[in-house]
Amino acid sequence: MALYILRRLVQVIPTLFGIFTVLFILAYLMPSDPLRAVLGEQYRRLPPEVIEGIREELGLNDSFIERYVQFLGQLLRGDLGRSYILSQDVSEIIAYRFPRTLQLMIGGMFVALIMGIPIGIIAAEKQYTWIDHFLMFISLVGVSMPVFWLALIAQMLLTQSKYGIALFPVAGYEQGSLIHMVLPSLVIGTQLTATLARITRTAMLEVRGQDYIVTARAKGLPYRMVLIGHQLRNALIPIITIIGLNIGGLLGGSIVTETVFNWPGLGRAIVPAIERRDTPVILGILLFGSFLFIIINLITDLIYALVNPRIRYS
Amino acid sequence: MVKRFTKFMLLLMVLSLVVAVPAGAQDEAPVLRVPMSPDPEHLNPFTATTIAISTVLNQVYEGLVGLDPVSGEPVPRLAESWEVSEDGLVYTFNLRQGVLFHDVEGVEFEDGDREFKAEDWIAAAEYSVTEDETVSSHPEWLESVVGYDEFLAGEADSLSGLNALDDYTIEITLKEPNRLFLFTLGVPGIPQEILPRMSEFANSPVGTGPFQFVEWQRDSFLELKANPDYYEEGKPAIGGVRYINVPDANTALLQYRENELDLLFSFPTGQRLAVIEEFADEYHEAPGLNVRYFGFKMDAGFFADEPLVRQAFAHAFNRELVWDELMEGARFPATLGYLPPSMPASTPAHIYEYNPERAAELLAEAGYPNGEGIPEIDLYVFSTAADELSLPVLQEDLRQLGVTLNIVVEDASTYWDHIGEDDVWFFLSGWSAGINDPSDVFNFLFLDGRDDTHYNNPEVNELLRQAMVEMDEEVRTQLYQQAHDLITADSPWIVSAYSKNTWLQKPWVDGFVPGGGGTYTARLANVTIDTSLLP
Repeated sequence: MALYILRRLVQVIPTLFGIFTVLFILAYLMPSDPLRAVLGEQYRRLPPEVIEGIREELGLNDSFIERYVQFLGQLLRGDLGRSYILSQDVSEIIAYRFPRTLQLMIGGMFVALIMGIPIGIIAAEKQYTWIDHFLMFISLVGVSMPVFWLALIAQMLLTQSKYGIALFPVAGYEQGSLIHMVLPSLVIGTQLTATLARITRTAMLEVRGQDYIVTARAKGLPYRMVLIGHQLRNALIPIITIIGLNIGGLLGGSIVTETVFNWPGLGRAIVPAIERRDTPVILGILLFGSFLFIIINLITDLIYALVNPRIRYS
Repeated sequence: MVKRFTKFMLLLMVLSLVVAVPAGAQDEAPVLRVPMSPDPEHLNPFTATTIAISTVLNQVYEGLVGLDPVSGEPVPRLAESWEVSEDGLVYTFNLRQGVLFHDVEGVEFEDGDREFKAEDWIAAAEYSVTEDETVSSHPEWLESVVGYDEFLAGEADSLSGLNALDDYTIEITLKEPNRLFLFTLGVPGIPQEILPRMSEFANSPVGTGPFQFVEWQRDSFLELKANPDYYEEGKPAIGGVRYINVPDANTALLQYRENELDLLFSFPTGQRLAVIEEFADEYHEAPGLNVRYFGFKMDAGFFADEPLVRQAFAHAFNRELVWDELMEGARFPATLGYLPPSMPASTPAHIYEYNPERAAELLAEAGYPNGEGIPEIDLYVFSTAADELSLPVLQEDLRQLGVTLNIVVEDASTYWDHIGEDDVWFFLSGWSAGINDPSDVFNFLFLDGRDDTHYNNPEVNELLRQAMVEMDEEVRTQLYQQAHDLITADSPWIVSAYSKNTWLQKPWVDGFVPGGGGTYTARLANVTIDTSLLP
């Protein structure tokens, strides 16, 4: 097992190197001049010779190879570089924003777990009744709703006394207080809730007919123990797969949610960085995101072994 | 177990509510909550190049003079008075005594309180004159001072035109008279001992302004508190300013409605009239200094040798329909010339009013009756303006003339880099003047072909150069008038609109007066909050 983990971790290095190269080429090929973004309005006010001097100094006139080697060298030294635009190191930007994005992802995951799995179990247990149809209809709506629209509706109904009840603040981070977390977590978790509900239902139904469940029932185990201890436990593999895959989705969905709810996460940094061609920030955040995704996949694989002793890695 | 968990969760929620109370809420003087978007890139005054940065730094730093938001004229700040020699070359500033730098956490001055003195200003001025953009993007602040070129080139140890006569008197000598010297003198009052460590203070400014820096959580909020030692009696009257980052205009509106914001600057697209109707008593507007235009490439492509076609297009565009009706009054339709109407010389000899018949005549005169022979034209637009209704209106107006207009949308970075190229003949653009003076438009857009239209008329260049050194206000205005008339005749733009500063302001807020440059120019030291009106 330890060897397996080590081997997977070693694989991370060439994967990240490949991702870095592709990202670097894409960033290099993006049209436009980052200096416009660095200097803003001042660009049109400064004389052309000053602009040229600045371009030289930032290394923007260097060739592709020179810039690639320089970036790679920095990266190997553990230095993600410094933003062209913000007076901040990229590592500083990630260190500040990642915990906030993670907080939102955990909130969304929490919502999805406490709602999605029970809904799926109930729907499976009440298969083909009106309850099942109703819950699956609701989850279909949940899967289909665009995040920005859901966010807007949630804000209208739950923060505005004019349209609903002003239960929560409209937006803001405020040191990540719980009350500020509720709405963005609900919004970011809705799609995953709906997906989980549907997957849980299918998985539970699949397991229900298995011999070991019939045996468990026949030997007189209480209903709840069969349902949770046997049926759900054996249905967990597809559920965990979906959760693992959707963590990346949560990271992506967080861009819209962070914007609508003024949440200072990674998504809020990457969009302006792309718009303004802030290459170090783009590369840093995307590399970090890729690393995260690889690690989450690894953890997902390891959890398989935990929940299902039949799976062994060597 | 379950009960214990429930109790824990309840406790967490209560704690979070306590944390959620804004920091300034318990202070006696209320804090002004201002929406902000985008976030400032940093807070270093020497490399400040965006409105987002100026929004905050305008409240934290002060220069020798400031600009009055209403009149736009220089007013005393760190200098309480100044004299100008008769030849307009020597400025003598008399500094205020007893002005203290902000007492900010993390900054220890050797003698406790640290007074602003002439040497501080001169050190900051010299610091700003460099070609190293990472140090300063504003060498132009002192461009007109004697010794500037030598100092910039590294041939002199000090800027010879700057002299501290004593701790409270600064003398500045100019190379030639410059009527705008005081308007563009952006050097901030900053303790000279922190200049070598500017990168440390790039995000935690220390100045002398009415508000001092407290905390900045990027993309969340930025908090300033009133400077208790500020030299103006009774100011600021509010406890501080909390800039709240709200990237989404709709969210900002919802926050304003729920009293989470005291001011609102941008309205969601398409909801402008509804918002104004809902908050009729809280709505304010004032003319701004931005000009929106469609630019023609003047030295390449189809339009370069077709003045009559350019004039025809300018007559064909129905600005009033766009801005008064379709865009719900978001800007003033450009019914005058190339300058915002508040500027001197803003009415040119010829005005391109909406006149489709005249447009058709001009096209025929140019040899293109009913648009025959004119190639399909691509209009380049930056993505954030893609839904501006001036585009379909212009498209339709030109179609009536027999001209096909294609709209090409590019993301802002690509667009800005592209429009200077020769393959772009026609583009949507805009310019924001910082001061209410024609030079701040003409010098950057029509002098020596510097702008993306590459408009370069030697006669205009000469007039603009003369105006720069002319101290007589009347003569200067005449020079700008002549230049304006020539530019208008050449028609390098279709002027579309002049900006309008619009904002909502809660009934308890008073004294918020933005200048033409935009709402960010308002001096928040003058703002008061009537606590009896707070909900």
